[in-house]
Amino acid sequence: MHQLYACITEQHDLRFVAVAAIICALGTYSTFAIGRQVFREQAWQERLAWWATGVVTTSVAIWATHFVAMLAYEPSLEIGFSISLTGASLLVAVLLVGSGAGLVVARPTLPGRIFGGGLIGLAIGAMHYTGMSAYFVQGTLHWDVRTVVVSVVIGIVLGSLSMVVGFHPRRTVRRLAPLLLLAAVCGTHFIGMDALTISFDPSVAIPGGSMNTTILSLLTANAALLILGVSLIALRLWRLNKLRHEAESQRLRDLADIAVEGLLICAGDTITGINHSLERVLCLPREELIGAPLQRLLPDLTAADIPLSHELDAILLDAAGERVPVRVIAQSIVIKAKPHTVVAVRDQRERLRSEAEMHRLAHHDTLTGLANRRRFNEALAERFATRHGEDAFALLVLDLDRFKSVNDTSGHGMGDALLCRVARRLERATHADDLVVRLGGDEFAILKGGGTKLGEIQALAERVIDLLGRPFLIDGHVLNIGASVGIALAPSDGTTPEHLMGSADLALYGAKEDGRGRYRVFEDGMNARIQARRSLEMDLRRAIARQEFTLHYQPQVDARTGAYDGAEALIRWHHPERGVVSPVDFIPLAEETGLIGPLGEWVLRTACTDALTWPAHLTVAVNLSPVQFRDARLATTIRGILAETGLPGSRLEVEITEGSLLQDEQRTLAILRELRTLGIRISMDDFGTGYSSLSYLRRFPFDKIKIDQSFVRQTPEDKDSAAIVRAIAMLGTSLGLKTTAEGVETQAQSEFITDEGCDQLQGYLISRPVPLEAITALFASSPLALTA
Amino acid sequence: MPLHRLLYTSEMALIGSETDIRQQVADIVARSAARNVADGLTGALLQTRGMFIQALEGPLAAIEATFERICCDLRHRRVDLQEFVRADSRVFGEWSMVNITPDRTIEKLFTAAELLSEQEHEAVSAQATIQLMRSLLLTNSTPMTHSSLQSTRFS
Ligand SMILES: Cc1cc2nc3c(=O)[nH]c(=O)nc-3n(C[C@H](O)[C@H](O)[C@H](O)COP(=O)(O)O)c2cc1C
Repeated sequence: MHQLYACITEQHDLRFVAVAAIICALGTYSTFAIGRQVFREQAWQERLAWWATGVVTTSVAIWATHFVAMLAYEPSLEIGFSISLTGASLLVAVLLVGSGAGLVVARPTLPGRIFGGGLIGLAIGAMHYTGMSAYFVQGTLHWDVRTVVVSVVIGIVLGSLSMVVGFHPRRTVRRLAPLLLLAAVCGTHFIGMDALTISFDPSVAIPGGSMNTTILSLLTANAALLILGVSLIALRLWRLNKLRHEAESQRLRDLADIAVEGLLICAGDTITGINHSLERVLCLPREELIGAPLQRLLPDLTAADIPLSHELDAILLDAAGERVPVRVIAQSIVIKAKPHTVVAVRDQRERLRSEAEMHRLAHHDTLTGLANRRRFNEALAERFATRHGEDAFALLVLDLDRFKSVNDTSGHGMGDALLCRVARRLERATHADDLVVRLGGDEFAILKGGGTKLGEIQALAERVIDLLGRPFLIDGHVLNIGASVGIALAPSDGTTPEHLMGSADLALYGAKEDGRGRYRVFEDGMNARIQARRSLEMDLRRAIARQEFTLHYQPQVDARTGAYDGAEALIRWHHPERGVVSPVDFIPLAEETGLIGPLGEWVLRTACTDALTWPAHLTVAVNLSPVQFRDARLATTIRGILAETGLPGSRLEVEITEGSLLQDEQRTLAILRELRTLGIRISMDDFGTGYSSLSYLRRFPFDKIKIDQSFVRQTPEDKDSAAIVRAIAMLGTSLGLKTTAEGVETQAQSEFITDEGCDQLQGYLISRPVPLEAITALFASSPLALTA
Repeated sequence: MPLHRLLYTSEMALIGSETDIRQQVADIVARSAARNVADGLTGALLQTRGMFIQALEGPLAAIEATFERICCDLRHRRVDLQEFVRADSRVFGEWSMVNITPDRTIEKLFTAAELLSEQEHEAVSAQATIQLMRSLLLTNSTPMTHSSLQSTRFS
């Protein structure tokens, strides 16, 4: 130790030693400052750059320390340096420090640092002794080998230790590292110098071309300080810049993460950032994507393809490789002085789902889930649009045969359940390429896929009729409905959707006329029949205006006295070409077309006007159609007619059939009650047919029951009819209602019926229906009847 | 839970050779038996002269659901419900579904189709048919495959 101390103080120029120490201290400080920067950097280019800087500064520092210290060495002899070997010593330092530092960077584990640090320590020794071989002095150099070994080992151990400590997590520990490295450099050098003794030998010549030491020392020291200074300043500036950028990027990232839509930042086609929203959509952490090409997320797209002004539909690949429909729009921004593209990625799944749902709702019947009329119209139009040449297809329309009565008697809930089951059975009857549609109510249609092989179409129709003809068990009830099917083929039966639909409807109409549970294929003749119906309808419309209708009256007499009580008004149509048209033919048509409204009003007004010409005790009876009861204003209309004509309500009688009662009961009841308040009498027509439920007679305010003529005609011979007539008469008496027998034709019937207790008679026996003049005459000349 | 029973007839709509058809019927019965066990249904399926006659009994909801499926089945046609009544007890309690194939002699005697077509006595004939089906099963005079017997009991 003393020796070493003596070596430094006695054999060295201390000013130079101080310079060397400063260089070395700065150098070792920058080794670690730059070393840590290597670890901070992410990009390999930057790591490499800082690694190189660190290697150069460290090597230069070690080398310059050695060199300046050598200049401080004053062996009091003439000295010189070989340029090439001095250069080589620097190279040795660079290589060994480089590999040591490389090892530490590549393997920052403890063994990596021990070995890497060892290499750096070795670099000091290797550099020193290579440098010494460049040292010429007028004498011979003697090395104490043991001390040499010690110097090298000291360098290795301290170098290694400095690297272990240098990247320690604790800062106070880390602070020791530059000192350790400084100690390694200085230790190796001065112990190495201590191992040297020089004995003067004038025979040794300093080779020519050696450098002048003073200038050299100044140059070297300055260069080394410059290099170190520049490196440290660069490091400082770099760090400041880095921190500012990081803060900026963080702010940008925070902003992006707040955004609801997915954002993607690209430099060229390389992804440099994504936000939280997009991470969520992708189910991928951003770390996995940064640096990846844009095409990994948006295949077939480059950043340049993404428009700035409008959204572009694209496909996004998520973590599972799933294709997510998105819309993208770009915006260019400058980050760190470089142009970047921010791509907004809008997930379209929710929108597409809700659009699909809206589309489904708009095109499907909510009750049965079948396609609805709208979807059908579109599909039919498309079939026509895409049809070419001989391409043909079939349309089937069907309606349920007894659905209305199920709906009326069992309620809407049952009706709905039934429609759903019908829908499922229709799906069973059809193939996947057939379109099954609920057109509305109990009307369905099938747009058949495939061609128009008659056999196939018939088989389909038969399957439909068979399946719907099977019973339905719903909530313990057995419902039998059945279906009729009309078939039309395009293009032969229709070249437009409307035309084809019309033909199918006509065929359906034909099927129903044939008896239910059948199918019919459209035939041209059907058109003619329908034409006839249409022309009848047109005539009917005109007939009211042209006054082609007249009323005939059939008198009603008191069964016991034979006196006239009044008459029933019956409509007649004198068609200019067809002659007399029976009510049986035109009333249903009038009901279907709604013409019954004005026609019914005409009948009421005419009957009331006519009745005014009769003796004041006589009544007039007018039939009302069930369809007229669907109009809630019926009572108001009748009140108006009474006021207009001046007929007292007590002289008007309205006859209604069961059909009126089967509809909306509350509405019918309200109308009937209001009519009663006007003094109008109400009679139940055709009693004995249909349901003739006793409860109707109790629930509705009737004044009279009319026994249907089908029973009256068969009395007294037919026992059943006689029993029915008797029962109805008794029922009338017990409920306090009058009874009228219709269709009395013979004296025997008249006597039987009167005996059974009927109150009134009507029929050919008394008179057939006659025109107004005739009935007026009859009523005027009736003292005869009074005495009968 | 109240029991219901139904009896219906239908025309077979199976295609193939005699053996094919026998196989198809066996498949229907096997599948039906399996489903009926789960649904608490019992019954029997008889074929004669190209017709099915099936009796099915059990809880209302299960009967309705199963009958609806049967009514969606295109392997038969013209399903005609003969009877649908509440029942006090099961007639076919031993069988979740069993196949009855009468032999020739019995087929001559037993003309179920005719029996059932007597409209006036619909209820009577349905009852008679059900009893006949049961006795055919019990006397075992029919070439039944015993493997198709499901011995699940419902009481
Ligand atoms: C004559 C006949 C009788 C049937 N009987 C039954 C039955 O008792 N129970 C049943 O579940 N299915 C029965 N089926 C089968 C049903 O019609 C239907 O095919 C089956 O229940 C559907 O079952 P899956 O939806 O599981 O395929 C019968 C089918 C036919 C043709």
